[in-house]
Amino acid sequence: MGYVTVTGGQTAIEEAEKLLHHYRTGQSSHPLHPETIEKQMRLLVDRIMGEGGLYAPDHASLALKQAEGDPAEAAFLLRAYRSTLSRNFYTKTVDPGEMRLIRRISSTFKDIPGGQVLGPTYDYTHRLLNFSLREETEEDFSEFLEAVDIDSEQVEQTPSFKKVTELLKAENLLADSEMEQEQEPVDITREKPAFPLSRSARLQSLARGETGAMSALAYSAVRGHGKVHPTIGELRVGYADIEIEYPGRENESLYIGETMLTEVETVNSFTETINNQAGGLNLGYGLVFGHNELKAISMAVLEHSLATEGEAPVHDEEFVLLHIDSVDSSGFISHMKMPHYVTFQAQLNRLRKFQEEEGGKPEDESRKQ
Amino acid sequence: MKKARLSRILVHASLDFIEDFSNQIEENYQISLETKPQKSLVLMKTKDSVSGLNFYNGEILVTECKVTIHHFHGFGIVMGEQPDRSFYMAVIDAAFNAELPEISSWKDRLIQEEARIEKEKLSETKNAEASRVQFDTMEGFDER
Repeated sequence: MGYVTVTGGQTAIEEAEKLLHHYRTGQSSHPLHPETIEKQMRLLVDRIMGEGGLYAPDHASLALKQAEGDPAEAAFLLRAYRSTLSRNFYTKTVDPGEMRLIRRISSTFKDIPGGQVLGPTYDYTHRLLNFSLREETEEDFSEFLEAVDIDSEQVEQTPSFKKVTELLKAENLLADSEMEQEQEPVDITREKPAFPLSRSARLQSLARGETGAMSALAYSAVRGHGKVHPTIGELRVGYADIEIEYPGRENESLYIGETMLTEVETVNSFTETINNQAGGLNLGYGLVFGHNELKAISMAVLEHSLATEGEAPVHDEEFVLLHIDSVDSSGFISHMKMPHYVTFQAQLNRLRKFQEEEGGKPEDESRKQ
Repeated sequence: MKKARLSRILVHASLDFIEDFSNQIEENYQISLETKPQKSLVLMKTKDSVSGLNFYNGEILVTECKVTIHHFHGFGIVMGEQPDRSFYMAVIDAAFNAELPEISSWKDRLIQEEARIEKEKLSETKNAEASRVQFDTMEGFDER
Protein backbone atom coordinates (compact mmCIF):
# COMPACT_ATOMS: atom_id res chain seq x y z
CA MET A 1 0.00 0.00 0.00
CA GLY A 2 1.44 3.37 -0.98
CA TYR A 3 0.94 6.67 0.79
CA VAL A 4 -1.15 9.30 -0.95
CA THR A 5 -0.21 12.89 -0.29
CA VAL A 6 -3.21 15.05 0.51
CA THR A 7 -3.33 18.79 -0.13
CA GLY A 8 -6.00 21.41 0.26
CA GLY A 9 -5.54 22.44 3.89
CA GLN A 10 -3.46 25.56 3.39
CA THR A 11 -6.33 27.97 2.86
CA ALA A 12 -8.24 26.43 5.73
CA ILE A 13 -5.21 26.83 8.02
CA GLU A 14 -4.78 30.47 7.03
CA GLU A 15 -8.44 31.17 7.69
CA ALA A 16 -8.22 29.33 11.01
CA GLU A 17 -5.36 31.62 12.04
CA LYS A 18 -7.50 34.64 11.20
CA LEU A 19 -10.27 33.23 13.33
CA LEU A 20 -7.83 32.62 16.17
CA HIS A 21 -6.81 36.28 16.01
CA HIS A 22 -10.47 37.26 15.93
CA TYR A 23 -11.29 35.22 19.01
CA ARG A 24 -8.12 36.34 20.82
CA THR A 25 -9.04 39.98 20.45
CA GLY A 26 -12.45 39.05 21.81
CA GLN A 27 -13.93 41.98 19.87
CA SER A 28 -12.73 44.09 22.77
CA SER A 29 -11.90 47.77 22.30
CA HIS A 30 -9.03 47.61 24.82
CA PRO A 31 -6.02 45.49 23.80
CA LEU A 32 -4.48 43.79 26.82
CA HIS A 33 -0.97 45.13 27.29
CA PRO A 34 1.65 42.51 28.31
CA GLU A 35 2.83 44.84 31.07
CA THR A 36 -0.67 44.73 32.58
CA ILE A 37 -0.49 40.94 32.58
CA GLU A 38 2.99 41.04 34.14
CA LYS A 39 1.95 43.39 36.94
CA GLN A 40 -1.55 42.15 37.67
CA MET A 41 -1.35 38.44 36.83
CA ARG A 42 1.96 37.91 38.59
CA LEU A 43 1.19 34.44 39.97
CA LEU A 44 0.23 33.16 36.53
CA VAL A 45 3.32 34.78 35.00
CA ASP A 46 5.48 33.15 37.68
CA ARG A 47 3.91 29.79 36.93
CA ILE A 48 4.63 30.12 33.22
CA MET A 49 8.25 31.08 33.89
CA GLY A 50 8.71 28.02 36.09
CA GLU A 51 7.12 25.64 33.63
CA GLY A 52 8.90 27.26 30.71
CA GLY A 53 12.19 26.99 32.58
CA LEU A 54 12.98 30.60 31.75
CA TYR A 55 12.96 33.60 34.09
CA ALA A 56 11.66 36.35 31.82
CA PRO A 57 8.53 38.05 33.20
CA ASP A 58 7.91 40.26 30.17
CA HIS A 59 8.25 37.36 27.72
CA ALA A 60 6.03 35.12 29.84
CA SER A 61 3.41 37.88 29.85
CA LEU A 62 3.61 38.17 26.08
CA ALA A 63 3.27 34.40 25.76
CA LEU A 64 0.15 34.48 27.92
CA LYS A 65 -1.37 37.21 25.78
CA GLN A 66 -0.59 35.29 22.60
CA ALA A 67 -1.94 32.04 24.08
CA GLU A 68 -5.16 33.66 25.31
CA GLY A 69 -4.17 32.71 28.85
CA ASP A 70 -3.63 28.99 28.17
CA PRO A 71 -0.76 28.05 30.57
CA ALA A 72 0.34 25.00 28.58
CA GLU A 73 0.49 26.93 25.33
CA ALA A 74 2.25 29.87 27.00
CA ALA A 75 4.89 27.61 28.59
CA PHE A 76 5.39 25.96 25.19
CA LEU A 77 5.90 29.36 23.54
CA LEU A 78 8.41 30.37 26.20
CA ARG A 79 10.30 27.08 25.97
CA ALA A 80 10.38 27.37 22.16
CA TYR A 81 11.67 30.95 22.31
CA ARG A 82 14.35 29.92 24.80
CA SER A 83 15.64 27.38 22.29
CA THR A 84 16.47 30.21 19.85
CA LEU A 85 18.85 31.95 22.26
CA SER A 86 22.45 31.13 23.00
CA ARG A 87 23.55 30.48 26.53
CA ASN A 88 26.71 32.40 27.29
CA PHE A 89 27.02 32.39 31.08
CA TYR A 90 26.37 30.48 34.26
CA THR A 91 25.47 32.29 37.46
CA LYS A 92 27.62 32.10 40.53
CA THR A 93 26.01 29.68 42.95
CA VAL A 94 22.90 31.26 44.43
CA ASP A 95 22.21 30.55 48.09
CA PRO A 96 18.45 31.00 48.67
CA GLY A 97 19.23 31.22 52.37
CA GLU A 98 20.43 34.76 51.67
CA MET A 99 17.28 35.90 49.90
CA ARG A 100 15.68 39.25 50.65
CA LEU A 101 12.42 37.86 51.98
CA ILE A 102 8.86 39.11 51.62
CA ARG A 103 7.29 36.01 53.16
CA ARG A 104 8.51 33.37 55.57
CA ILE A 105 6.38 30.89 57.48
CA SER A 106 6.73 27.58 59.25
CA SER A 107 3.98 25.10 60.02
CA THR A 108 6.38 23.05 62.10
CA PHE A 109 7.72 25.55 64.62
CA LYS A 110 5.75 28.46 66.02
CA ASP A 111 8.72 30.36 67.38
CA ILE A 112 11.29 30.28 64.61
CA PRO A 113 14.21 32.68 65.08
CA GLY A 114 13.47 35.82 63.12
CA GLY A 115 9.75 35.20 63.40
CA GLN A 116 7.08 34.45 60.86
CA VAL A 117 6.19 37.01 58.21
CA LEU A 118 3.00 36.31 56.31
CA GLY A 119 3.74 38.58 53.35
CA PRO A 120 1.38 38.51 50.37
CA THR A 121 -0.83 35.45 50.85
CA TYR A 122 -4.36 34.28 50.12
CA ASP A 123 -4.11 31.80 53.01
CA TYR A 124 -6.30 33.79 55.38
CA THR A 125 -8.61 35.52 52.93
CA HIS A 126 -12.29 34.73 52.48
CA ARG A 127 -12.87 32.93 49.22
CA LEU A 128 -15.69 35.24 48.25
CA LEU A 129 -15.89 36.97 44.90
CA ASN A 130 -15.03 40.62 45.29
CA PHE A 131 -17.50 42.31 43.00
CA SER A 132 -16.07 45.76 43.73
CA LEU A 133 -13.07 44.84 41.55
CA ARG A 134 -15.35 45.27 38.55
CA GLU A 135 -15.39 48.99 39.21
CA GLU A 136 -11.69 49.35 40.15
CA THR A 137 -10.06 52.47 38.66
CA GLU A 138 -6.56 53.86 38.24
CA GLU A 139 -7.37 56.31 41.03
CA ASP A 140 -8.13 53.38 43.34
CA PHE A 141 -4.67 51.97 42.55
CA SER A 142 -2.97 55.28 43.37
CA GLU A 143 -4.89 55.83 46.58
CA PHE A 144 -4.11 52.33 47.81
CA LEU A 145 -0.41 52.59 47.02
CA GLU A 146 -0.20 55.84 48.99
CA ALA A 147 -2.06 54.35 51.92
CA VAL A 148 0.08 51.20 52.05
CA ASP A 149 3.35 53.12 52.18
CA ILE A 150 4.28 51.95 55.65
CA ASP A 151 7.12 53.76 57.33
CA SER A 152 8.12 51.45 60.12
CA GLU A 153 10.87 52.86 62.28
CA GLN A 154 11.75 49.38 63.46
CA VAL A 155 13.26 48.27 60.15
CA GLU A 156 16.48 50.00 59.24
CA GLN A 157 18.13 47.20 57.34
CA THR A 158 17.06 44.05 55.56
CA PRO A 159 16.67 41.40 58.27
CA SER A 160 18.40 38.06 57.89
CA PHE A 161 16.65 34.86 58.90
CA LYS A 162 18.52 31.80 60.00
CA LYS A 163 17.09 28.72 58.37
CA VAL A 164 14.97 26.41 60.46
CA THR A 165 16.83 23.41 59.12
CA GLU A 166 20.10 24.92 60.31
CA LEU A 167 18.68 24.83 63.82
CA LEU A 168 17.67 21.19 63.41
CA LYS A 169 21.13 20.36 62.15
CA ALA A 170 22.70 22.17 65.09
CA GLU A 171 20.61 20.09 67.49
CA ASN A 172 21.55 16.89 65.66
CA LEU A 173 17.91 16.13 64.86
CA LEU A 174 18.38 15.39 61.16
CA ALA A 175 18.95 11.97 59.72
CA ASP A 176 22.35 11.17 58.30
CA SER A 177 22.37 11.82 54.60
CA GLU A 178 23.72 9.24 52.19
CA MET A 179 23.57 11.40 49.10
CA GLU A 180 26.04 11.07 46.31
CA GLN A 181 28.69 13.73 46.05
CA GLU A 182 28.50 15.36 42.65
CA GLN A 183 31.24 17.61 41.40
CA GLU A 184 29.19 19.55 38.86
CA PRO A 185 25.41 19.49 38.53
CA VAL A 186 23.86 17.75 35.54
CA ASP A 187 22.01 19.95 33.05
CA ILE A 188 19.03 18.02 31.68
CA THR A 189 18.56 20.55 28.87
CA ARG A 190 21.90 19.43 27.44
CA GLU A 191 22.22 15.83 28.64
CA LYS A 192 19.55 13.27 27.89
CA PRO A 193 18.22 11.96 31.21
CA ALA A 194 19.30 8.43 32.00
CA PHE A 195 17.55 6.79 34.93
CA PRO A 196 18.29 6.66 37.76
CA LEU A 197 18.98 10.39 37.70
CA SER A 198 21.43 12.20 39.89
CA ARG A 199 19.94 14.44 42.57
CA SER A 200 20.76 17.60 40.61
CA ALA A 201 19.03 16.28 37.47
CA ARG A 202 16.03 15.24 39.51
CA LEU A 203 15.73 18.68 41.11
CA GLN A 204 16.11 20.46 37.76
CA SER A 205 13.42 18.26 36.27
CA LEU A 206 11.05 18.98 39.16
CA ALA A 207 11.77 22.72 38.98
CA ARG A 208 10.51 22.74 35.36
CA GLY A 209 7.44 20.62 36.13
CA GLU A 210 3.82 21.59 35.63
CA THR A 211 2.16 22.90 38.79
CA GLY A 212 -1.08 20.96 38.40
CA ALA A 213 0.57 17.66 37.58
CA MET A 214 2.99 18.01 40.49
CA SER A 215 0.32 18.96 43.00
CA ALA A 216 -1.84 16.01 41.86
CA LEU A 217 1.02 13.57 42.38
CA ALA A 218 2.03 15.15 45.69
CA TYR A 219 -1.60 14.95 46.80
CA SER A 220 -1.65 11.25 45.96
CA ALA A 221 1.46 10.78 48.10
CA VAL A 222 0.06 12.43 51.21
CA ARG A 223 -3.41 10.90 50.76
CA GLY A 224 -2.03 7.43 51.20
CA HIS A 225 -0.56 6.40 47.85
CA GLY A 226 2.89 7.12 49.16
CA LYS A 227 4.92 7.07 52.30
CA VAL A 228 5.35 10.74 53.09
CA HIS A 229 3.18 13.29 54.86
CA PRO A 230 5.42 16.17 55.81
CA THR A 231 4.95 19.49 57.52
CA ILE A 232 6.46 22.70 56.22
CA GLY A 233 9.68 23.31 58.09
CA GLU A 234 10.01 26.60 56.30
CA LEU A 235 8.48 28.32 53.30
CA ARG A 236 10.27 31.37 51.95
CA VAL A 237 9.43 33.80 49.18
CA GLY A 238 11.94 36.45 48.30
CA TYR A 239 14.49 37.88 45.93
CA ALA A 240 17.85 36.29 45.22
CA ASP A 241 20.74 38.36 43.89
CA ILE A 242 22.12 36.98 40.64
CA GLU A 243 25.77 37.41 39.77
CA ILE A 244 28.03 36.06 37.05
CA GLU A 245 31.78 36.03 36.79
CA TYR A 246 33.17 39.05 34.97
CA PRO A 247 34.48 37.75 31.62
CA GLY A 248 38.19 37.05 31.93
CA ARG A 249 38.45 37.97 35.59
CA GLU A 250 37.83 35.20 38.08
CA ASN A 251 38.04 37.49 41.09
CA GLU A 252 35.43 39.97 39.85
CA SER A 253 31.71 39.46 39.54
CA LEU A 254 28.87 41.29 37.87
CA TYR A 255 25.41 41.71 39.34
CA ILE A 256 22.75 41.21 36.66
CA GLY A 257 19.53 41.52 38.69
CA GLU A 258 17.39 39.55 41.08
CA THR A 259 14.95 36.68 40.68
CA MET A 260 11.98 35.97 42.87
CA LEU A 261 12.04 32.43 44.21
CA THR A 262 9.88 30.25 46.41
CA GLU A 263 11.79 27.79 48.55
CA VAL A 264 10.32 25.04 50.73
CA GLU A 265 11.91 22.63 53.14
CA THR A 266 9.58 19.95 54.41
CA VAL A 267 10.15 17.96 57.57
CA ASN A 268 9.18 14.32 57.37
CA SER A 269 8.30 12.48 60.53
CA PHE A 270 11.01 9.99 61.41
CA THR A 271 8.40 7.32 62.05
CA GLU A 272 7.32 7.53 58.44
CA THR A 273 10.75 7.37 56.91
CA ILE A 274 12.36 4.11 56.04
CA ASN A 275 16.00 3.03 56.23
CA ASN A 276 16.37 5.73 58.82
CA GLN A 277 19.34 4.36 60.63
CA ALA A 278 20.13 7.49 62.58
CA GLY A 279 16.56 7.91 63.74
CA GLY A 280 16.51 11.57 62.75
CA LEU A 281 14.21 13.67 60.64
CA ASN A 282 14.44 13.66 56.85
CA LEU A 283 13.89 16.75 54.76
CA GLY A 284 12.32 17.37 51.38
CA TYR A 285 13.38 20.25 49.16
CA GLY A 286 11.58 22.47 46.68
CA LEU A 287 12.73 25.60 44.85
CA VAL A 288 10.88 27.23 41.97
CA PHE A 289 10.91 30.44 39.97
CA GLY A 290 8.64 33.21 41.16
CA HIS A 291 5.93 33.04 43.79
CA ASN A 292 4.45 29.57 43.41
CA GLU A 293 3.93 27.94 46.79
CA LEU A 294 1.77 25.07 45.55
CA LYS A 295 4.50 23.93 43.19
CA ALA A 296 7.34 24.44 45.67
CA ILE A 297 5.56 22.37 48.35
CA SER A 298 4.66 19.71 45.78
CA MET A 299 8.27 19.63 44.62
CA ALA A 300 9.47 19.06 48.18
CA VAL A 301 6.95 16.24 48.67
CA LEU A 302 7.89 14.59 45.38
CA GLU A 303 11.61 15.10 45.92
CA HIS A 304 11.42 13.25 49.22
CA SER A 305 9.06 10.62 47.79
CA LEU A 306 11.57 9.85 45.05
CA ALA A 307 14.31 9.51 47.65
CA THR A 308 12.16 7.02 49.57
CA GLU A 309 11.48 3.44 48.57
CA GLY A 310 7.89 2.40 48.01
CA GLU A 311 5.44 0.76 45.62
CA ALA A 312 3.27 3.80 44.85
CA PRO A 313 3.76 5.78 41.61
CA VAL A 314 5.27 8.75 43.47
CA HIS A 315 8.25 6.60 44.43
CA ASP A 316 8.91 5.76 40.78
CA GLU A 317 11.36 8.29 39.40
CA GLU A 318 10.66 7.56 35.76
CA PHE A 319 6.90 7.73 36.27
CA VAL A 320 7.01 11.07 38.08
CA LEU A 321 9.66 12.92 36.14
CA LEU A 322 8.54 11.86 32.67
CA HIS A 323 4.94 12.91 33.27
CA ILE A 324 5.19 16.30 34.97
CA ASP A 325 6.66 18.28 32.09
CA SER A 326 4.00 20.58 30.65
CA VAL A 327 5.49 20.78 27.17
CA ASP A 328 5.95 17.01 26.94
CA SER A 329 2.51 16.08 28.27
CA SER A 330 0.46 18.76 26.52
CA GLY A 331 2.39 18.21 23.32
CA PHE A 332 1.78 14.48 23.32
CA ILE A 333 -1.89 14.74 24.22
CA SER A 334 -2.41 17.50 21.65
CA HIS A 335 -0.69 15.56 18.92
CA MET A 336 -3.68 13.24 18.89
CA LYS A 337 -5.56 16.05 17.13
CA MET A 338 -3.15 15.89 14.21
CA PRO A 339 -4.17 13.80 11.18
CA HIS A 340 -3.78 10.06 11.81
CA TYR A 341 -5.56 9.09 8.61
CA VAL A 342 -2.96 6.56 7.50
CA THR A 343 -2.79 4.94 10.94
CA PHE A 344 -6.55 4.64 11.15
CA GLN A 345 -6.86 3.46 7.54
CA ALA A 346 -4.37 0.70 8.32
CA GLN A 347 -6.47 -0.33 11.32
CA LEU A 348 -9.59 -0.43 9.19
CA ASN A 349 -7.85 -2.53 6.57
CA ARG A 350 -6.72 -5.00 9.21
CA LEU A 351 -10.20 -5.17 10.71
CA ARG A 352 -11.85 -5.79 7.32
CA LYS A 353 -9.31 -8.44 6.44
CA PHE A 354 -9.96 -10.16 9.76
CA GLN A 355 -13.70 -10.07 9.15
CA GLU A 356 -13.30 -11.56 5.68
CA GLU A 357 -11.09 -14.35 6.98
CA GLU A 358 -13.43 -15.16 9.83
CA GLY A 359 -16.42 -15.08 7.56
CA GLY A 360 -18.27 -12.43 9.46
CA LYS A 361 -18.16 -9.59 11.89
CA PRO A 362 -16.30 -10.36 15.15
CA GLU A 363 -18.48 -10.37 18.20
CA ASP A 364 -18.48 -7.00 19.91
CA GLU A 365 -16.90 -7.45 23.35
CA SER A 366 -18.94 -4.62 24.82
CA ARG A 367 -22.24 -6.25 23.79
CA LYS A 368 -21.45 -9.49 25.60
CA GLN A 369 -22.38 -7.82 28.83
CA MET B 1 34.50 50.77 42.96
CA LYS B 2 34.20 46.97 42.67
CA LYS B 3 32.38 45.74 39.59
CA ALA B 4 29.77 43.86 41.63
CA ARG B 5 28.83 47.05 43.47
CA LEU B 6 28.92 49.23 40.36
CA SER B 7 26.80 46.83 38.33
CA ARG B 8 24.26 46.56 41.16
CA ILE B 9 23.76 50.32 40.99
CA LEU B 10 23.62 50.40 37.21
CA VAL B 11 21.07 47.58 37.02
CA HIS B 12 18.63 49.31 39.38
CA ALA B 13 19.33 52.98 38.60
CA SER B 14 16.90 54.92 36.45
CA LEU B 15 17.65 54.73 32.75
CA ASP B 16 18.10 58.51 32.54
CA PHE B 17 20.68 58.33 35.30
CA ILE B 18 23.00 55.93 33.49
CA GLU B 19 22.29 57.42 30.06
CA ASP B 20 23.75 60.67 31.34
CA PHE B 21 27.03 58.95 32.27
CA SER B 22 27.14 57.13 28.95
CA ASN B 23 26.49 60.34 27.01
CA GLN B 24 29.45 62.03 28.69
CA ILE B 25 31.71 59.28 27.36
CA GLU B 26 30.09 59.11 23.92
CA GLU B 27 30.63 62.86 23.46
CA ASN B 28 34.36 62.68 24.14
CA TYR B 29 35.52 59.28 22.93
CA GLN B 30 35.20 56.94 19.98
CA ILE B 31 33.16 53.94 21.06
CA SER B 32 33.36 50.72 19.06
CA LEU B 33 30.36 48.46 19.35
CA GLU B 34 31.88 44.97 19.49
CA THR B 35 28.63 43.12 20.18
CA LYS B 36 25.42 45.06 19.78
CA PRO B 37 22.84 44.50 22.53
CA GLN B 38 21.49 40.99 22.15
CA LYS B 39 19.36 38.67 24.17
CA SER B 40 20.92 35.50 25.55
CA LEU B 41 20.58 33.04 28.41
CA VAL B 42 22.27 32.59 31.76
CA LEU B 43 21.91 29.24 33.49
CA MET B 44 21.11 29.65 37.16
CA LYS B 45 23.02 27.46 39.57
CA THR B 46 21.51 27.14 43.03
CA LYS B 47 22.50 25.55 46.30
CA ASP B 48 20.07 22.90 47.52
CA SER B 49 20.07 23.44 51.25
CA VAL B 50 19.03 19.89 52.11
CA SER B 51 21.96 18.15 50.45
CA GLY B 52 24.32 21.10 50.30
CA LEU B 53 24.85 20.28 46.61
CA ASN B 54 24.20 22.51 43.64
CA PHE B 55 21.67 22.13 40.86
CA TYR B 56 20.44 24.14 37.88
CA ASN B 57 16.93 25.40 38.51
CA GLY B 58 16.38 27.23 35.22
CA GLU B 59 17.60 29.86 32.82
CA ILE B 60 17.40 33.64 32.96
CA LEU B 61 16.88 35.83 29.92
CA VAL B 62 19.44 38.65 29.77
CA THR B 63 20.57 41.35 27.38
CA GLU B 64 24.31 41.72 26.89
CA CYS B 65 26.50 44.20 25.03
CA LYS B 66 30.23 44.68 24.44
CA VAL B 67 32.08 47.86 23.48
CA THR B 68 35.67 49.09 23.38
CA ILE B 69 37.13 52.50 24.07
CA HIS B 70 40.82 52.89 23.19
CA HIS B 71 41.22 49.11 23.25
CA PHE B 72 39.66 48.90 26.70
CA HIS B 73 36.76 46.51 26.80
CA GLY B 74 33.44 47.27 28.39
CA PHE B 75 30.74 44.71 29.15
CA GLY B 76 27.12 45.30 30.04
CA ILE B 77 24.68 42.57 31.00
CA VAL B 78 21.29 42.85 32.67
CA MET B 79 18.26 40.65 33.22
CA GLY B 80 15.35 41.07 30.82
CA GLU B 81 15.12 42.71 27.43
CA GLN B 82 16.94 45.99 28.05
CA PRO B 83 19.09 46.90 25.03
CA ASP B 84 19.64 50.54 26.01
CA ARG B 85 20.62 49.75 29.58
CA SER B 86 23.04 47.01 28.52
CA PHE B 87 24.72 49.44 26.09
CA TYR B 88 25.02 52.22 28.69
CA MET B 89 26.39 49.72 31.20
CA ALA B 90 29.00 48.53 28.70
CA VAL B 91 30.11 52.11 27.99
CA ILE B 92 30.37 52.92 31.70
CA ASP B 93 32.25 49.67 32.34
CA ALA B 94 34.72 50.53 29.57
CA ALA B 95 35.17 54.02 31.05
CA PHE B 96 36.09 52.44 34.40
CA ASN B 97 38.43 49.92 32.76
CA ALA B 98 40.14 52.74 30.85
CA GLU B 99 40.17 54.91 34.00
CA LEU B 100 38.87 57.86 32.04
CA PRO B 101 38.94 61.19 33.91
CA GLU B 102 35.13 61.54 33.74
CA ILE B 103 34.59 58.77 36.27
CA SER B 104 36.11 60.79 39.11
CA SER B 105 33.04 63.04 39.13
CA TRP B 106 30.62 60.09 39.16
CA LYS B 107 31.44 58.57 42.52
CA ASP B 108 29.19 60.78 44.69
CA ARG B 109 26.23 60.44 42.33
CA LEU B 110 26.65 56.67 42.20
CA ILE B 111 26.69 56.45 45.99
CA GLN B 112 23.58 58.65 46.22
CA GLU B 113 21.80 56.45 43.69
CA GLU B 114 22.90 53.37 45.61
CA ALA B 115 21.31 54.81 48.77
CA ARG B 116 18.06 55.51 46.89
CA ILE B 117 17.98 51.95 45.56
CA GLU B 118 18.58 50.46 49.01
CA LYS B 119 15.84 52.65 50.47
CA GLU B 120 13.43 51.45 47.81
CA LYS B 121 14.23 47.82 48.56
CA LEU B 122 13.95 48.43 52.29
CA SER B 123 10.51 49.90 51.70
CA GLU B 124 9.31 46.54 50.36
CA THR B 125 10.85 44.81 53.37
CA LYS B 126 9.03 47.21 55.69
CA ASN B 127 5.73 46.42 54.03
CA ALA B 128 6.38 42.72 54.51
CA GLU B 129 7.45 43.28 58.12
CA ALA B 130 4.06 44.78 58.86
CA SER B 131 2.60 41.29 58.38
CA ARG B 132 4.89 39.74 60.99
CA VAL B 133 2.96 37.35 63.25
CA GLN B 134 2.92 38.21 66.95
CA PHE B 135 2.05 34.97 68.68
CA ASP B 136 0.31 35.23 72.05
CA THR B 137 -0.67 32.32 74.24
CA MET B 138 -4.38 31.66 74.65
CA GLU B 139 -3.99 31.21 78.42
CA GLY B 140 -6.98 32.73 80.17
CA PHE B 141 -8.72 33.42 76.86
CA ASP B 142 -11.97 31.73 77.96
CA GLU B 143 -12.18 33.83 81.12
CA ARG B 144 -12.12 37.09 79.20
